Amino acid sequence: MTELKNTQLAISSQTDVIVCRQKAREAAVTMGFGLADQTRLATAVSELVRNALRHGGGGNCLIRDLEEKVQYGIEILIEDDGPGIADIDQALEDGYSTDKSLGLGLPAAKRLVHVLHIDSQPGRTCISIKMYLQKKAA
Amino acid sequence: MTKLMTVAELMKEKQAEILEVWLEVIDSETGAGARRTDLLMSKAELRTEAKGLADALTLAFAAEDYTDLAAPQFQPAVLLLREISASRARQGFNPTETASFVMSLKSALLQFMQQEFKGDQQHLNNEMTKMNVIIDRLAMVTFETYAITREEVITEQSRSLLEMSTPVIKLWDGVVLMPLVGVIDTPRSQQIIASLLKGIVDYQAQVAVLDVTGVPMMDTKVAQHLISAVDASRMLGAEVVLTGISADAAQTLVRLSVDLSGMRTSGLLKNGIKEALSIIGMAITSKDRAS
Amino acid sequence: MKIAIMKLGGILITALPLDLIDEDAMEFQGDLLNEINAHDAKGVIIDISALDLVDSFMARIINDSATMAGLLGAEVVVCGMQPQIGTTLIEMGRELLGVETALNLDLAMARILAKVKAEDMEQADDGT
Repeated sequence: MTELKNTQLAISSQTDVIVCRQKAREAAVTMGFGLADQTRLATAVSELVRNALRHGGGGNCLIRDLEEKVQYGIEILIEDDGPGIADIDQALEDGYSTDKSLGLGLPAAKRLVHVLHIDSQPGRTCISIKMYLQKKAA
Repeated sequence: MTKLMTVAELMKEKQAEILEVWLEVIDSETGAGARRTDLLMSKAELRTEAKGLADALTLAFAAEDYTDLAAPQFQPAVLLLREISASRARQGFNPTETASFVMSLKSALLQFMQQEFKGDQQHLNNEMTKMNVIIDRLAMVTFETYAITREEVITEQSRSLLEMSTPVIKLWDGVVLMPLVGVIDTPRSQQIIASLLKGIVDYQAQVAVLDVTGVPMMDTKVAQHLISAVDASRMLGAEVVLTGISADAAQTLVRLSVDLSGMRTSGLLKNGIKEALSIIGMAITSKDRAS
Repeated sequence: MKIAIMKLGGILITALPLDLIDEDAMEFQGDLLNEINAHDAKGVIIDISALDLVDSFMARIINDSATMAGLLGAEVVVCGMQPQIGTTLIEMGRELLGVETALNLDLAMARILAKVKAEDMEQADDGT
């Protein structure tokens, strides 16, 4: 199993949306994910980092190894210190948005990854996404 | 009365003879299996394996309490047995054939023990009980390893089947055919969609014919997977013609209120190919009429 | 970053580069609409073969551009989408990208020309 180096990236400009999703894709390649999963992960990261930038005023993105009892995978944490998400269930519904610009990003990201967990309060929002690698037979 | 030998000493002293009897027992006990064994591996290979295991067991039996598989003396024997069992599983031996390898050592040893210990019934009983326990435990190791290995083989096979079972065939310039065979579940549907899209782009196919003649059951879930495949293909700019829908499937789909009206469908593959060709402005005509 | 928009006959051809930042994507939308008006373009082809992903923002830019171009009287065809993007878009939501697509530039061009021709004929019919 390939060890993944923890990568911490800042989210402060539009270029960071690109950087974060590129790094996420690189990590997925390192871990041995297929092209479809690489694209799913990079797309989800693109959505979430853009949200953190626009609604949360920036923050940071952490890419790391995920080793749970039976599965290997990748975990990406996207944090911002913005106003937070008042109603998480509602935010995950299609087409819902506090402003007109988005509303598809969060539910779309949720459909692309295996796990999407939101932890939000005013002043700090942390979204964790996980993708599991199919365990290879020895 | 002279002190009787232990099983370990017996094995050490008579190893060559025991080995011969053991091989004979393997041969006779498995019957038809033995002939299969001949097919799957040579006598020489079998002998090498048996010899190796006998050596390792002779060492292991020298332990004070030789019924404890976890004892360090047993490690080489257990490792070797696992290796042998795993290779049997991969070579295609059935469970009986695999287990009988170590089980038949029991009857071989028994013959020698009865002969050697016939003066002391008590000793014979003691040693026989212990020997029974240990061989049974070894058989369990064998079976466990066999089962694990078979499972690995099955996983590998199903993965490669998954990949093999979704071929994309070029029918004509700009037309590809993907015949679907077997049950379509969610992981497989992802594989199907990925292969289909890759095929469309690789062959630059404007039309893909998706034939479901070989799909045994059509339900809402399968229909949704098919709709996703069609939508994804259209996303790339290719049209999909769905063919091979059986009369039963058509009934089921309508009863389940699955809406396939947005898709090009046809019952026979023949008609689907005709439609696909007409989309790219081609047609199959009879020679007579063409001339 | 300025994205080249080329004119060929009455058709505009452009290709989106990899890793376009949001601001540049918005700017591209404006430029494209201006070019349509400037050249009285009847069709637009947007090649996206360089893109390794299309997220909801990019999908929206493309969709909106197509709708806006439609208001100006130009048909939009997107071409060259990589297969895994098709999968991702469907999974994110079918409605995400509602624009007409073609596999490659050749097919996109053929589609646009057919549409322009059909419209011309309609107009000719109206004229008589």
